[in-house]
Amino acid sequence: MGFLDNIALGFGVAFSPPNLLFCFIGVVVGTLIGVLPGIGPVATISLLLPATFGMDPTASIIMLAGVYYGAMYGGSTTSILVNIPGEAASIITCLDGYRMARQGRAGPALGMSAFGSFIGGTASIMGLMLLAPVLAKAALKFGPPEYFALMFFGLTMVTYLCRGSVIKGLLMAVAGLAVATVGQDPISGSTRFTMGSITLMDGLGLVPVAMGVFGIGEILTNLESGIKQEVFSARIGSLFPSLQDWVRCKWPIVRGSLIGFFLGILPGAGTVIPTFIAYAVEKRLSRHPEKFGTGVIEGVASPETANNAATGGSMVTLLSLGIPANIVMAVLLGAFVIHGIQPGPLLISKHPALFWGTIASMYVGNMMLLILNVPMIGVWVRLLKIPYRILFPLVVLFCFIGVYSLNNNVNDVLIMVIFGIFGYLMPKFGYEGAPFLMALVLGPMMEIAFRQSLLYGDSLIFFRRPISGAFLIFSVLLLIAPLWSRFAHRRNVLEQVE
Amino acid sequence: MKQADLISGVFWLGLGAMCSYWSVSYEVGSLTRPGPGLLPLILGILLIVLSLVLLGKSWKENVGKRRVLSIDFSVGWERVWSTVLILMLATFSFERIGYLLTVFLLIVFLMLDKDLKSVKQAILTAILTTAGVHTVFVRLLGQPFPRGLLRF
Repeated sequence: MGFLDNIALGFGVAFSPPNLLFCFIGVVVGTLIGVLPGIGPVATISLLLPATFGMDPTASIIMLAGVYYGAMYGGSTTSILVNIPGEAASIITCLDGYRMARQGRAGPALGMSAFGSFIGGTASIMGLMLLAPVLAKAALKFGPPEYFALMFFGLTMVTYLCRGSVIKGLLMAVAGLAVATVGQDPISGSTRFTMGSITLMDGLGLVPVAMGVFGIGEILTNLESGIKQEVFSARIGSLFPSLQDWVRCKWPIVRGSLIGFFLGILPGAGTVIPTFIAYAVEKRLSRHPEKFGTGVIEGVASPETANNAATGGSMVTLLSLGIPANIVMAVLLGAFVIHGIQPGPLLISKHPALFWGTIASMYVGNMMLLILNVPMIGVWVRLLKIPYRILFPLVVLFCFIGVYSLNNNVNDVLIMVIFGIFGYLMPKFGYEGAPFLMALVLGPMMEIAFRQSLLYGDSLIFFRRPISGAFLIFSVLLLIAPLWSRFAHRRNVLEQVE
Repeated sequence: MKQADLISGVFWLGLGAMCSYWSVSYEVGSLTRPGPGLLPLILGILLIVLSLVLLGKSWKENVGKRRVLSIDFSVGWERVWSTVLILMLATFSFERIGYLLTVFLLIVFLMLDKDLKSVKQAILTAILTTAGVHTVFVRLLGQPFPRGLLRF
């Protein structure tokens, strides 16, 4: 089948009534959780997973992907109107978005954010359509050593891009891999670290752990800091940006799309880092960098375009290589596996309707979001006025019921609460959850690839094959980079003293 | 030494030691014939090494400094631990007293403030939420939630 036939197949799948409905549900739920502070796409996708068990795999992936990019749209509304990021990827939008709202320009800020998100999202889908099949073809040559090295590289990137100490990032990644070994050994079937518990024989479930670390943990953190919502909705005005706004934003949108897409592909970059880099690039290129942070529209357009473009970029490695580029993709990988589908190079040939249907649905979903978001701003504003003391018990209950419904097992809820405490304490001790959850998802696949590689009879197989060797060398370089920069800094200081 | 790094370093050290000790009881195999215990053993050793590096680094950076930095627990921490306690109680009582009572009590206790000003609002929200859970999850989706004390 040619490229155009594939696209036609994709749109045929995306436009079927059930898929359209699930795409719509996904983007609405995504926007909703993006708008509401304290609930992210990781927790929501984890929570919706059990609801998709009885659904068609294509429809469920379309819906869950919709939650992801819908959240990126919704996050900006809270940043602009409340000065609290609805999503981590909208942190930087607070700087200029909220200032614009205070200057009576909330409407153009919200409008430009929606249009920028649409353009960024659409551009990234084009990139995904072109790049994923090429990458998948190349990945057909991969064996277990290459897969192990690629996953190792991905995990190293996540660790490297963590804020703060690399040692702590590594500790979280290793702990995640260790926790992933709980349960049945994927090759021999013998049980490990189960302490005789039947619940643990299946391992620690991704959903209870993700819900705990990113759902309950986030709620506990918010309760401690005490979220105060002051919704700035007095003068939203027209949502359509002026011609002058468009002239000022055209290049930031183009650059935001490119930065978002290519950084989104990079394992570990997620949707947050591209927004910071896109903002920094615009500030550097601007003729008036001092005005950034005072309410300039470019400061809204660029990060909002970048975070939506990153969603398409992050799908590239998941769909073509089967390797998640960030935590949301890791949970989405879990959704694929639950439905008995292994994303990777064979996905396009084995499940073309799912592959092209998901991509086409992202385009349809972006269209829906643009149409939905402009007239629905009023609804989101009203939702934002719900006090957090009413909202959080409902979210906690939703997590409780959702996790229990997985297996009708109260031990899953207990696991969620324990990992909720873990997720709350992590930032206090200077740790981040991303490497832990990525390692937990990649763990079983990494172990299979690792042991299959060793069965070749050569313990140095990873370094003897060029692709795996290159990935491992890159990983080692990433790990020693902070040491090198510290050494160089110390030498500079010594030279200055001398 | 930073209090946070000391506590977390000791925690990881203990976890690593436990993981290594336990994994030896499974078949470790060799580097060309790996058994189920090999990867956990490697990970346990890595945890020990990394936690020692963390402890060593923290000690080296703070050598000679008397002040021990405390972990930041803001004023709202009581709310955090009361929420955890309520969740734990709800988890343990869910199958005993049933979903209707658990959902009702969970919402009431989570919504109550210290000054108990919001009792009416909490009870009303809890009744509506319990009715919602019953309608959506039990009636519409047919979830087999434990009925406990209220058997209907």
